[in-house]
Amino acid sequence: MNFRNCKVLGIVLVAVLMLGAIVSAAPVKVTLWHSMGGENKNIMDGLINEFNTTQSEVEVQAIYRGTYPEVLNAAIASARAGTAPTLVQIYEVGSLAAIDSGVFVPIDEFLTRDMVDWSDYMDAVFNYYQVAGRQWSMPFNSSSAILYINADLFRKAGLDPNNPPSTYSEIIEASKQIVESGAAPYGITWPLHTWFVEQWMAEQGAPLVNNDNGRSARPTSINTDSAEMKRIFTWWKQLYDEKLWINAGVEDWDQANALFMGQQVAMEITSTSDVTFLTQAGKEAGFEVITAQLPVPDEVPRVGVVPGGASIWVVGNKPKAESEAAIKFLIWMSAPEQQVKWHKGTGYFPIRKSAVDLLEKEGWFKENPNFEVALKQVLDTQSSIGTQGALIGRFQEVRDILEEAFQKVMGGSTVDAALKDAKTKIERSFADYNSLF
Amino acid sequence: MDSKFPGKVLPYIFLLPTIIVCGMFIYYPAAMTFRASMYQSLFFGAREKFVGFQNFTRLFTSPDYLRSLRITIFFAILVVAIGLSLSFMIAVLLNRKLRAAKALRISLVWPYALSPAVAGTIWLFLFNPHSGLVNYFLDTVANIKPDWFSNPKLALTMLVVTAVWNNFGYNLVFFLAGLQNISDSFVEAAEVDGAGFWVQLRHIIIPLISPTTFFLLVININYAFFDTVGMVDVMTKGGPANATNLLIYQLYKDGFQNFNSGLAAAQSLILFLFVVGLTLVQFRTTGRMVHYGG
Repeated sequence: MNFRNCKVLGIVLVAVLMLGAIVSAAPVKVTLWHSMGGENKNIMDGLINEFNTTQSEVEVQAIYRGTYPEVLNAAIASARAGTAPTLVQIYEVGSLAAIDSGVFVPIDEFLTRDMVDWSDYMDAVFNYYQVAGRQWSMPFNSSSAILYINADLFRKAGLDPNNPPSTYSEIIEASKQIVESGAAPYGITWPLHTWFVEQWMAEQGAPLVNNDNGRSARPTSINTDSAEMKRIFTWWKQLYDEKLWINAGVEDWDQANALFMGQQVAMEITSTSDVTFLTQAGKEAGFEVITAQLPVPDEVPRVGVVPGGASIWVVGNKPKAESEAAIKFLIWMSAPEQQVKWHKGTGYFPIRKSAVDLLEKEGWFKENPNFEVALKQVLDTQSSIGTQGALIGRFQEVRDILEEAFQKVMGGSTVDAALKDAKTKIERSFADYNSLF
Repeated sequence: MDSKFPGKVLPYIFLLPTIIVCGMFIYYPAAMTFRASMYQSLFFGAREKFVGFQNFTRLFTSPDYLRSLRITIFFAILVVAIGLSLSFMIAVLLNRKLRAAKALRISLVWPYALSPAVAGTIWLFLFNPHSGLVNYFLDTVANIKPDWFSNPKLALTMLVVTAVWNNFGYNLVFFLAGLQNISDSFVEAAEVDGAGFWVQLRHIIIPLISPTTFFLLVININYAFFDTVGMVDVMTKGGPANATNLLIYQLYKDGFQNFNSGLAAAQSLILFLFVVGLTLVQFRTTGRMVHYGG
């Protein structure tokens, strides 16, 4: 080998070494699939962008993959094909499917006690994602259902917006007054969605399904024949029959908001994740929006709500570096400062106690009382089997069947008959699901 | 002259690319679907259990499924009958020498460029019971504001209108092409004989355009059965109370939402056999009435 060759070899060697250094310094890529559309997507992108620009070890790429059921489905399908992302945002009721699919690993596998202080997380949220003694996912966006009031229409109808209806019968009375006074064509709306039924079951302290709401074993029966469930359906039917509640469509959140903003109704029940949006939209349309606690049945004490929303799950079978990078991002994302920004931008309640302290210290809730209602409702929630939320494998099917049941009631069926039919269908679905384990 | 292909292997080599593509994308998935239909399964086959024909017996004994079947057939008949007759009439009118014919044609054809889901979204706005144009118009003219989403018959009507509108452009293009292929000499000869517009339509145009009509019949049935899933998802989600739960939408829900690929596979086989059967019947019956060439 002559000198010339040696030189070339040397240059090549140095180049390779330099390239190696560059490669190892390049940030680890982490992909996240989520369901945050509209304005909430911008807030989410803003947070992720901040994370990417403030450190150089991890680069997160977030992709909007459609609605919650679509994301869950796409994640499981892609994992079967070996193309799953690193992280997936999964809605609360997708939790058992996520666990049973075998696609995800519990987050406590990576998170040791010194990395995250679980005691700082809200009990209700923490409890939801705790299954069989393991912490499965990182809580992120949590919400519950609250009542939104168009204060101007309330005054027009001769109602006091500062003394909002808090029970089923008060909702009926207020709606009647709104319609009769001509303030609005209808009293109230919410999307035809089983989520609200789940919330009202929790408010009565009742589990949705057996086996401790599916927490001690996969459920085999559903409490659609319970007094609590009948109470919800009977009241809802009365509102519909007397033309006080207007059907915004099946799981149609946007349409319900449109009806409220278009002043077709004076009240809307929807997620706390719309506090920012609806308060602002009301301001732009020239009316004042006030929030109030979710109305509950008259006969029973208020127990509390199930934390709705979603958490972020870690896909298994990924390179260690990628999973660790993902964990770094998750810790950052659920840190109090980020939770404060997320809360202010969306209305999802902060999932950490220290984030609430931060917000109180700066006087946020005093200035924005609409946000306080949403938070208070969660803080007041008593820990019970009902409020911990149900675990069901094919939860979306259960939601569909109950939505269908109410549509049958609207079509003239009795509450008892519709719920009985729903029970048969749901329990067969449970039996099928359980037979595969 | 006997022109034989040289060798026995060569033809198969030429066929190989087609066989591979068909095998990978048609036969293999079809075989897997058949297999899947015999299983109870979860999460796209991550967990499964052989159950024989249980999925099929379940479907055929389920009142909901049979109701969906009836609704789908009714829906398909409406979409095909209204869609084809409407587009044929407009095509005949457009085929005349009009001044704005080109502009009119383009404006009538463009809905086809939209996917069914987008068409669904547009009509969702129009049919909105409270702020939609349809009810605004009905309210001004007849003082009624029907709730298109809560009434089963109205919801199905809404879907039929959307489906017809969405596929209208496609039908129109084919009918126009068919009409323009009809030689002027036939029409002129008929005119000389003193045949009026209706007589020409009945004895010349309709028989001569029958290959196009037949083709569109098959395509439209396929459209009504398979392509409407996005529309249903956007507009009614199968509601109210399953009144618009078309077979293909039930399949989508079971397969992609309830993680029940076995049941979905069984449904896709049923749907497949149903449409194949229907098409064969058409070739046997309507197909005989079709005049090719002329």
